[in-house]
Amino acid sequence: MKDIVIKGGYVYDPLNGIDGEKVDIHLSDGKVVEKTKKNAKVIDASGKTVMPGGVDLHSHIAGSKINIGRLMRPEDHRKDEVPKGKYTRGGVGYSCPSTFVTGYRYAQMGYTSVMEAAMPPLGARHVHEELIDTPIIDKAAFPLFGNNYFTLKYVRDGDQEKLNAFVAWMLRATRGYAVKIVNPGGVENWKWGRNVYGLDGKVEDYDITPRQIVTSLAKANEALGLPHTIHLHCNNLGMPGNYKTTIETMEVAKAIKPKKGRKTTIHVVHCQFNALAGDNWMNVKSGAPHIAKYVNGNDHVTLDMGQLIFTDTTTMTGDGPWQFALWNMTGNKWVNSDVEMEAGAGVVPYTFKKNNPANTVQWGIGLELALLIDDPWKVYMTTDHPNGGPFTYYPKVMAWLMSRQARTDTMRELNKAVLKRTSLANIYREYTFNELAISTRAGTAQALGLKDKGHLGAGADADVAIYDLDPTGWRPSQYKMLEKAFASAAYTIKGGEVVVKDGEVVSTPLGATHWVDVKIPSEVEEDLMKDLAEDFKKYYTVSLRNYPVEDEYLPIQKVHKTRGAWK
Amino acid sequence: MEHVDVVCPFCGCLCDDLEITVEEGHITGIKNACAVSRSKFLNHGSHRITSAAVDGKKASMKKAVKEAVEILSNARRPLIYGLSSTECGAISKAVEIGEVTGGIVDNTASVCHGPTILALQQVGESKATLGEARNRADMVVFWGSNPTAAHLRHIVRYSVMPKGMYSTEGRKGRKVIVVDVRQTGTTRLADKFVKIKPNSDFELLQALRATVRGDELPVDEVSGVPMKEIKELAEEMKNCKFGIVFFGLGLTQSEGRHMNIDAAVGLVSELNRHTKFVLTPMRGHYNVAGANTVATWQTGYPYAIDFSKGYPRYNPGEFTAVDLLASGEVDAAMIIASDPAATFPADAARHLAKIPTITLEQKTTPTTMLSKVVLPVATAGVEAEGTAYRMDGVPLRLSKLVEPPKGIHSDEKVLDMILEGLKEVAQ
Amino acid sequence: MVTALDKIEVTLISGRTAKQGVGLEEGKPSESYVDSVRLIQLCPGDAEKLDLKEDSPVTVTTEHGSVTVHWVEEKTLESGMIFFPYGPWANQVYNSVTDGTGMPIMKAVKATVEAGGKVQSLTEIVDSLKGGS
Repeated sequence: MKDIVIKGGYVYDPLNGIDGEKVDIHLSDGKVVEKTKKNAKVIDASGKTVMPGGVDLHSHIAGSKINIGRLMRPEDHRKDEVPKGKYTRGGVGYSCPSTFVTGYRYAQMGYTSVMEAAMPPLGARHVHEELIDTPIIDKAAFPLFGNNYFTLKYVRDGDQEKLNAFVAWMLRATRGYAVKIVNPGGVENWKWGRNVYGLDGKVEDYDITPRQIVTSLAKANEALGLPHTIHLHCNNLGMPGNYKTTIETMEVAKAIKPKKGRKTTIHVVHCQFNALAGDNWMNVKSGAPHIAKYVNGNDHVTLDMGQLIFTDTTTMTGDGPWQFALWNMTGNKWVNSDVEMEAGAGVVPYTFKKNNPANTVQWGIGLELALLIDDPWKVYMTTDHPNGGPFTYYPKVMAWLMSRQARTDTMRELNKAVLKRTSLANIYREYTFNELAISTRAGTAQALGLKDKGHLGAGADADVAIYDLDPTGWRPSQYKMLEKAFASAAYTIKGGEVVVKDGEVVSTPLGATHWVDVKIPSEVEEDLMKDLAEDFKKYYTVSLRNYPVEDEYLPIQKVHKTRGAWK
Repeated sequence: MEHVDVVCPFCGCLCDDLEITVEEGHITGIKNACAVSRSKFLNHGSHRITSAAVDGKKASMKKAVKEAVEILSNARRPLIYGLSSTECGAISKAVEIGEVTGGIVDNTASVCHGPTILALQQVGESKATLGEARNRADMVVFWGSNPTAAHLRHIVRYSVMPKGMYSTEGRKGRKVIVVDVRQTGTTRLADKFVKIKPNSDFELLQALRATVRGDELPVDEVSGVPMKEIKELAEEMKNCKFGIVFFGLGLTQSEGRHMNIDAAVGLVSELNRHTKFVLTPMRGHYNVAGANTVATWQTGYPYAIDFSKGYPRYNPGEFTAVDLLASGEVDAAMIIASDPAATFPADAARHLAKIPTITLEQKTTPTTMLSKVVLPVATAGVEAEGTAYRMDGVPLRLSKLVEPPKGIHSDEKVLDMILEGLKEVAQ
Repeated sequence: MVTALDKIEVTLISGRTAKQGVGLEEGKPSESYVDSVRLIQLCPGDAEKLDLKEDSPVTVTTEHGSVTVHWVEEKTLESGMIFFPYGPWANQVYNSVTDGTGMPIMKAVKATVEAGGKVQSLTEIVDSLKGGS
């Protein structure tokens, strides 16, 4: 592969303190280097914006849940049919894009790494099979732990040691990257058709609380030295008044000692859905200012927006009881999918409407979170694809973040509830390009602990996005121009290879799948395996031997080793 | 050599506890298997097609592949069909061949649980993996399904007999209800056999649903079942702790088809307002679920996919194999891991003999007997590895236990040879 | 003494059987497969109505087609219902019209059964498909 020099662009590389300066970026052998050899290919980026490749830390792109979404929504696909191209496979887009199209479209926006945020362990092979068919981007998947039988059992027994070993083993067995928790305890209760309400609710068959689950998993996470914090979908999602639960949950994680070199102990996902004040969906209002205040005063929390988009989309979460509630609210078609011993999921199509007061409040909340939290390293841009809306709307969210006029223009079309029940109209802050780069790549890479991603210093992966926009001349009133530029990168370079040029995919290499391999001492592992073997035989319908994902499912893997909890 | 925890590639149960003895490259012993599984493993070598053939004459693999490429590249509307008894790698290649040729890709779901998918697209589905039945179910309903004939270890391993986390009593702790039009092996072990008139499942499902909702129906009986019995059944369903419906082709292949499933889903959803209830289709071929799964993630659609416009389009009833053959619309066919000449109404099967048909098979079948090109392949799960999806969507790894006969490759490999040939022609 | 009927009207149900599963894994041309699917099941009463002889074939006819197969008694079937395992013989009597669903109706089909006819071999069945009549 030929070396590349990107010359003359305005570079935003917040992790290396570069804020819009003209710096040449040298790429060689898949990495950013100080200096390339003489015959490098030159890309003229003058007058353009250069950033590290985008890093999405929370999206649903692969596995049984998104595939149920695809399966149940032919009507969604028909809005967005994608013919095969010279270099690309055909497929469908919109809210549940086919795998190939997912890879292409992220790359077209200059994104080069995407996290699948919820992997049911028993379905891990399915996730990895889909990731193999998701071209260009690097990927990782987060196994679900918050309602796993072994988690609940070890929490009940107060056996933190075993829990640590189990988390480590499960990450390896599923080739997972981070500890995902969805409505801790609530999905277990849902297996009997019930839920858990709040941190001190009862997880029925175990007589434990969500508070204990979160605490124990956060402790395990930090003890094992995992690159990312726990990745938490809080209890009470979608229930007005839930901002209190969210803050309480953040407070739980405050007591946890972070691993060396990191200040944070919790990432709260798609916070918009968990930042609701009011008592019911009729009088729902924003709880974002409360959350922002808490986050501004504490350094152990990161969160992502879960921004809402006014469109027809497909909601899908591991939160079975919430999806049941949403079905009851909407009467739309509903798929529930419970996974033995581990997890659940639900899928319900939903249309966010501009004339729906509650939806406009939710729209406002996502942006309030991003704009009221002072430190951009703490809050990241997502739509919780496809829950708040498809990821292809990111450029629109960027415009709202960077342009008050973009927000005002949208608000004019909305039900007035957004003006009365959120503070968005009174917020004047507009993200700078540097802040945008933090929110969409530098900050997310840092939160994930992906040291070679999200920056352009020597040694970083050669993942670069070049946008046809001159940041020095750009004004927030020109937000449509920004949307256009970020929707369709002038260049996307992945692993040192040009994969997108002028918004078109020109090459489709397979990216790596990242996972975390924690060192477990053999005696600890043997002890754990005895437990697992016994319970697998009694309760699972697959054998323990057939459970772990084989190497065949990760043709290109990037293993992140950690030393673990044992000295 | 002893292999343990081997996954069985026969039916949608994908039992993964087989013990298989291999001696000198041959399977000589098998434990834990049902009769069909035993037959599959022990007979995989018999009646094999040993050579490729073109027009009924033996041909080299190279020549047969070339012939296949020629047929597919000259076809205006080729059909690629089957895919339920092979692993996912082969399915993936078949979808790509569909795209490259601008043809149609359909799988056997169109004649088994296609209507289940249509219903899911209409109203959804509340489902669970089989372990949920094992661990929690205290009510098990078989509706239009007969595992004693089609899924031989289902009852013992998953649904009726096994003890689980909360089902500590096994069979005793479960109420088993069977709804069918005739007595079967499954009805014989039921606590309650609800015998209904043929073609009246829809009515009974709707009557039950209405009763669960609390609506009074001003009739004495529905589908041959007295209203009193319907009311009792509705009460039992509402009052169980965890109920599961395993439904089969009795619902999908009789009058009403997808509307029967729509009604079953509606009943189960309604029951979730009272207790926990789920339903699971009894998928027949071991990887028919995988055929739907792979096609869905690659194209957005589970079966009946037409690529003639360059992007995938979906229309069961139009792009489904039986319809395409019966109408004579397709001018070539490639059949993988399926035997439509033995499974389709004769009217549809007849067209396969009229057009150039390419078939990938291990053994002689009615379909190979009328094919222009026959390509022998390895048996997935015995001679080739790969992924298969269980009836409940759980993915498992199939093993390669023995080498295929000399010169015989996996479905995936043969399809890849054809795909590469097609790409060359296109250039 | 009841006079034997020429034919009876029945509801035809098709489906899987374990024997058929075992047979097909052996190979479709195998005797065990052919034997498992080249027959119908009917109740003793109906067999008596038609005065069927143990080794005499029966012909099943629907609006759509007709096929001759062997028969066995199945006590659990009610009068007026026959069971026909899936396979090349059963396929002769099904309609390929799917009413826009992709799925032909293979269960609960109106049919008649009468004594007599000639049972075809697998090769003959396949040849008839090739003949395209």
